[in-house]
Amino acid sequence: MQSPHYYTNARILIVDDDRVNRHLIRALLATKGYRQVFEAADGIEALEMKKQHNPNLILLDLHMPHLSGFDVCRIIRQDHDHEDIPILVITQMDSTQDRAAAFEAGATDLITKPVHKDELLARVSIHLGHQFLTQDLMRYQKRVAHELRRAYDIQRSLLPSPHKIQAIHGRYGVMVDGYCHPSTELGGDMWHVSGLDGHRVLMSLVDFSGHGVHAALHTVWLQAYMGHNPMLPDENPDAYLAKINKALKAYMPLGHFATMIVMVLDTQQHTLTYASAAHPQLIVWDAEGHCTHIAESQSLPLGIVEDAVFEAVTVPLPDGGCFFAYSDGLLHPDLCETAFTEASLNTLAQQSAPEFFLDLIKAYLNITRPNHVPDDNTFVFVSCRTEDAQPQTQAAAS
Amino acid sequence: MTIPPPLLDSARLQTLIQDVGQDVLIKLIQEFLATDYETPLKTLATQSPQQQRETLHGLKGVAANMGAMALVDACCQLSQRPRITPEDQAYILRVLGDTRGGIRLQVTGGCV
Repeated sequence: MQSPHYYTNARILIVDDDRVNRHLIRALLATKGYRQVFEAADGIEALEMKKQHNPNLILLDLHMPHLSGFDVCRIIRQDHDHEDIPILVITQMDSTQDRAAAFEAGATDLITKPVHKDELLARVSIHLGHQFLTQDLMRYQKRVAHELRRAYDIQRSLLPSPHKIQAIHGRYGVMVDGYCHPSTELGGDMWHVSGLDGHRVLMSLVDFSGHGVHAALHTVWLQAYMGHNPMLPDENPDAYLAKINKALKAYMPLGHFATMIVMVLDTQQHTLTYASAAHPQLIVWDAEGHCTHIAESQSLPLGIVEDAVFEAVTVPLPDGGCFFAYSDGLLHPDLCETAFTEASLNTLAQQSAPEFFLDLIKAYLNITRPNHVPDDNTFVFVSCRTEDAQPQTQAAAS
Repeated sequence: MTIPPPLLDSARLQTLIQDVGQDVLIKLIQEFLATDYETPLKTLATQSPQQQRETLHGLKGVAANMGAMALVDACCQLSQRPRITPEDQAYILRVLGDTRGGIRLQVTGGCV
């Protein structure tokens, strides 16, 4: 709350067609130190004065010539810039109809005639306090929204760019379709793709516990870590996960953790090698569109145990084959009434061509996305067609 | 039989003196005793019923603020009537005059 001195700098507009009433209220306000007090003798003048002085509070008589206090109230409430201004209506004790109509017109509070100093000053002080607090909160909210928007842009810029995805496709013949949508302004999901060597592509998907700012900061930390400690060509996904786990355990506060899957697609051997840290299933299809492998979630999440061990699994991925990895936001029961489960995704994968499967997932996320989503949603769908490869396009893919 | 209210609410006037000070209150009373209120009251009988109600309502508000109880009561009584007659008009002007006299004596000691 602001200091009382801050309130006395407030601009107050008194609207009353009776000069004596205006002067009495001004005199009562002066006893508390309110200096910026303006007067209007009717509704039309009140609207002019409001425009001119932008008051923090209006004391308004209801019955005035030309434009009544009720009309003034209604007009102010329709004005977007002043719709929140406190309007304290001054009415007579016996006018019960006036009181109800005043609130209906948009009055904030009532003061009865005869006006009593203590009551007037208390109400003015309370409503000015609310007004300043609301304004402070709105300024804070605007600033935070602006900062979150900038942070969101920065986080989005860490995701693989269309240019990079195009370069991966050009160099390896690997088509990557990634989706990442945070549940709030910022999310704790992130995915990554890069060339590992001349014929292998590295992909990863991480989901930090929680969402919002702290989870987003973890993704930025991980991105920086992976930038400084890239997976080495002779390193396996399980060893790389173990390395990341050790670093995360040392960095992350207690109670925070992440699930992650690291995948290496070998376009020469036509294999997919992956290691998972409690990440949801990985679904693999062959070139004919048959679902050939569904990897169950395994091992501990990252950041729980320093020496956690992860397992690398290699499965065939022939030319024309594809796979789908996702974060558990897709399975969130609050997402919609017909949310996916691991079992229903399995069934869908086994009974559908991968392209149809992907279209269905995208349509599902497009439907749920405009609503409040309870968790971040991320997936990576990768298909391999090595005849598309043009190995000379190297730089942007790494 | 209804007991008429006192001409002035002495407690209210005392409170006003404490709230705004004697000097400011005397200025306010000078404004109240000026002829601003006489003109509309003198033309009450010629006004439309709506205008009559507004005139009485306005006077009642300022009278309440200044502790003029008899004037508040007179305004309330006349507000109930469908139409203000010249007799009503004369009555309310008389109460306004009495109120002025009372205030002069009670607050300003007859100086205003």
